[in-house]
Parts: sequence; structure tokens; C-alpha cells
Amino acid sequence: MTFIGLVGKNLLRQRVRSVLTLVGIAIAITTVVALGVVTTGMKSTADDFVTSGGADFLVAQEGAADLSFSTLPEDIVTEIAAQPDVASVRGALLHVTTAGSNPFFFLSGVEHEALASQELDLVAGRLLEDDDERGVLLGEKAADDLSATVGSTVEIGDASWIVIGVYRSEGLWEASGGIAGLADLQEVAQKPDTVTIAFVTVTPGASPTVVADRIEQAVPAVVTIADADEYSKVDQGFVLVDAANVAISLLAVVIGGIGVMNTMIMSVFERTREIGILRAVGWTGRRVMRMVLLESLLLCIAAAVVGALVGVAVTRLVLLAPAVQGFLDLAYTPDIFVRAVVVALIVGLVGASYPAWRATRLSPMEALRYE
Amino acid sequence: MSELAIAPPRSVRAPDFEGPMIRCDGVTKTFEEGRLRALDGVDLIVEPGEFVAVVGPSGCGKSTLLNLMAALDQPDDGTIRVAGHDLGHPPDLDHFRAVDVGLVFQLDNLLPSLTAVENVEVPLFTTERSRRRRRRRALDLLDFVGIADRADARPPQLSGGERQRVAIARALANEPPLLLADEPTGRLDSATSARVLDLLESLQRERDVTLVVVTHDPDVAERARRVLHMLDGRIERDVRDP
Repeated sequence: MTFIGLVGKNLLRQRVRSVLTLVGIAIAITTVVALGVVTTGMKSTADDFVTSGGADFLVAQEGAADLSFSTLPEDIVTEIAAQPDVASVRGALLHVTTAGSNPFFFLSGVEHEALASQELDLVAGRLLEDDDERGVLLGEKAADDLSATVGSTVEIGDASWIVIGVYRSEGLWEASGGIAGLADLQEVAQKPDTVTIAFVTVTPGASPTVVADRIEQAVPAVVTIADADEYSKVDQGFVLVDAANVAISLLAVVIGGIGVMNTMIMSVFERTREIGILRAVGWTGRRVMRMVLLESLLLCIAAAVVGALVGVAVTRLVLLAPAVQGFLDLAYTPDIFVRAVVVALIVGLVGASYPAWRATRLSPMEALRYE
Repeated sequence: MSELAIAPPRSVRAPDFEGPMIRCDGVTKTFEEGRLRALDGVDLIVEPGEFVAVVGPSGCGKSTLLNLMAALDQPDDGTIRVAGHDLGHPPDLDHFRAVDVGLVFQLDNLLPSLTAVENVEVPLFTTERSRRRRRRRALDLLDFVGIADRADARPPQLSGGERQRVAIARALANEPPLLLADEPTGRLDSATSARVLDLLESLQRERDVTLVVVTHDPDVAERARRVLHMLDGRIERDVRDP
């Protein structure tokens, strides 16, 4: 018999209680994993968006409550383009609306000339031209969802658009959205002479960070965003999601810890006499403590494995919902699972610390007298 | 009963003390904040290899004396030396309990979730790192006490006599020089009692183990070479070769 074998046997003695505790911790771990997968996926999608069309960063209105609320005068594109080391600037009006089953259809309006520099991967049709009236390019996913082909008419929001081309994109928001002419979208969205953001590409060899800093200083009331982490400059959504993630992890530790502590206290209490026997045959308090801690850790590691698997399954199920498919991409990165295991280990240690300490404080005689 | 085929764990040292196995000087123990005097200035010397029975009415202090000898409890006053250790100034009481003394209780006190052989392995965790050697020695000990065929049975599946034999095997795991037994036949029928006593007696005789047995059982007292009669926390009579 190994020490770990003895620990395992102790856990299996009260199977129902061990399983119920495991389920409780696994639910907490599932939440941590699912939130982590969603948050990381959102950031990855946002990163793809920032760098879409080969851009190095984007420019938005300073102080906007949300990226989609950013409003810049259209002529700011010219002002940014005049800055040193700026290779190209693409102003875009973002319009989030409904289309087919997608409640978050991203329609972006850009100048026709700017489309050429965006290096779109067209799979059908052609780019927009000046004489296209209410023409739209659809991402492959959006075209599938709307059952649209080149030449067909689709309803996006309250307006009808003629499909001019279909493009392929790795970015989820682009693939499940569309691109329209800037003037057409300004008219539909009732936002004349404005853009939401500007995508900036710097000249080869220039530092995007330096150019971004220079733009922030030279152009009044704008901020630059180079990746998802900088979204907080204009969008508190990611900050809130990150904060919720940390809060739920902490909550998982507290709730899971209380559950484990309850189980381990019961277990130690019930085995008081047995602990007395172990002490009477020469087991040290430290060895008894190690046994109790290991029981708790074993339970929590098993819960982490179950919770992580359920977390992956749950997030995959969520993706089956059409409302989510065009908006949310999932990212299963190793750090999510490392965090789940760390949370489980903390739960195990926190929950078992008091029962383990109590077990070591029992005098062999008191424990043997215990009925 | 066969001889043990495997040596005790290497970390268990041979007794290296001289003098008595047990020496009690003025040992006093009270309970309930001094209102109940369980032991009242007990003086006692037990030499190595003796078979001592401690008898007396319930509440006379027999088990309290045994528990103090096993370092399960501490006296309020007086000193106890066991196998060369002053139990009032212990360098390591856990190690003392692991290797210097073997305990057999009235209730066998086996761990119910473990098999017989696993129960015997429990004290070996403190002295033997090798899992294979632990298992081998535990099996040999079960063979030694005559129940090798019940090695994989759990305590609820064993008879009272078998459980007590497992407890004796466990007490012998680290080959202690002193075996302390508290009513080892208290819950056994007479035939089973006789077999357990045969085993304890042969251990004392053949392996030179010092044996102290607290008992109400006159058969046990008859077999002992020395009988201590206790009353009201004192040793009233010390009878040798009764």
C-alpha cells in the first residue's frame, strides 16, 4: 500500500460525499474555464479586428464609452495620413445591426479606393465601385448565413443591399459581417461626414508604437489602439469581463473552499478515533496533516479535470446558438487550464488547512477515547 | 506459528539501553481538574523480558498506567522511563511510539477501510520507505500470528480473534522491545482468548519481548510471571511467580 493509495481509500469510504464535493468544485472550475475561454476568444477576435486589412493600429475618439460610439469627423483621415511614417489610413464607419440569424452583424463602411489597399481575399464577385448603389461585400460566413450569392439582394438591418462580392477572412467579425461603401452606410446609419474609427498602416521599418504616440499628440481628441488590451481606452467591456473573470475565480475559491472545508471537517471529525490510532502507532502530526491535505488536493485535482472537460463541452454547446456564432470565437489556451488547476489547488489547500491543523492538534489519548 | 522471514526495517535500531525496561517513580495522574486521582504516586520497575499482568477493579488506574507507559498521555507528577527514554523529556515521542512500544487494545482498533495486511503496514510507514518491503514484512507478520490466509480481508470480515491477531501483528511491525496490551482478551470467547494468550506468551518467551498486560481475565494473570494488584491508583501488591 502506498501513501497515496491510503489517501484514495479514505476518499472512497464516503463515496457520495466525495462525489458531491467534487461536483461542487467542478461547477466552480467549469465557470472559470468557460469564462476564460470566452474572454480569451473575445480578445483574440478583437485583436484580429484591430489588425484587419493589414493595419498596425486603429484610431478612435478619445473618451468614447464604447468603440461603436466613437465618432470622428471624416476629414480626420486626411489629417492622420499627413503624419510622418503613415503609409495608409482607412476610415471606417461601423454599424452593428441585425442580419439573418446574426443579431450582431458588423457592417463597416469604407471608401471604395481604400478597399483596394485592404487586400481582401475575394472568393466571388468583385470589389465595390463608385457606381454601385447600395452594394455590399459579404464575409463568407455571412453569405452562408444569408444564403446570398453575388447579385442577390439581402436585408441588413432595415435596408436592402445588393451583394457585389464575397470575401474570406480569418477574423470572425469580418467573416460574419460585411463591407459597404462609406457614403451608402453614412446615409443608412444617418451619420453624415463621420467615421467611427480609422485603420492605420505605417511605412515599412517605422515603429507602430512611435507613430501611434505621435498621432495621439498631433491629432486632438483621439486615442490609438494596437491590440485588445488597449481596448479599455474606449471600451470598458473587456475591463468588466476581466474583472468578472477574477471575481468569479475568487468566488470559486471561497465557495469551493467552504465546501471542501465542510467535507474535510466532517471526514476528520468522523475519523477522530482512527487518527488516534495512527498517532498511537507512531504517525507524526505532520504525516497526519499530509494525509488530510492530500485527500483534499486529490479531490480538487479530480474536480479540476472534470470541471475543465465540462467547461470545454459547455462552451462548445454555447457556440451552437446562432446568435453567438457570428459574434464570439472561442480560444482554448493553456493559461486557462493552468488557472483552473491553480484555483482547484488553492481551493484544496484553503479548504483542508483547518481540518488538517485540527487533526494534528488531537492528542492520541483524546482521539482514542473519542466515541 | 512460523519465524519472521524478514528483518525489521533498517531504521529501527536495536535497544541500546541498560537497566529496567520500565521505571516509574512517584507517578501521579489526575482527571477532571484534579478531582479524580487515577494514579497516586506509583513506583514500579519492570525488567526486560518480564511478563507482567496488571489487575484490579475498574477505575483503579490500570489503563491509565498503561497509557502513560505508551506515551499516549503525560503524568501530572513523577517520572517514567521506558526503554531508556525519559517520557517527560521526549526527544521524539512519535518515534518512541513507532519503534519502542507496541500497543494492543481491548477493541482491536483496526482501520476499517484497510485490509488486514494494510493495517499491519500502517506503523511501517514511519520506518520503511520501500512499499515492497513494507508489504513483505506485513505478510510475514500475519503469517507469524497465524492468519496469513486472511491478509486481504477487511476488519468487518474477520472474527474477534482474527482481528486481535492482526492488532498483535501490527504492534510487532517495528519489532518493539515492549508490548503493552490493554484487555487483549476482553471481548473474546474463552477458546479464542486462550489462543491469543498463547501467542502473546510465546512472543514474550521466544522473542524476549517485555509484556505488560492490563486485564480482568484471571487466565491472563495465571500465565504471567508477575502480577501487580492495583487499587485506588496505587499498586497494593506485587506478586512474582504467583
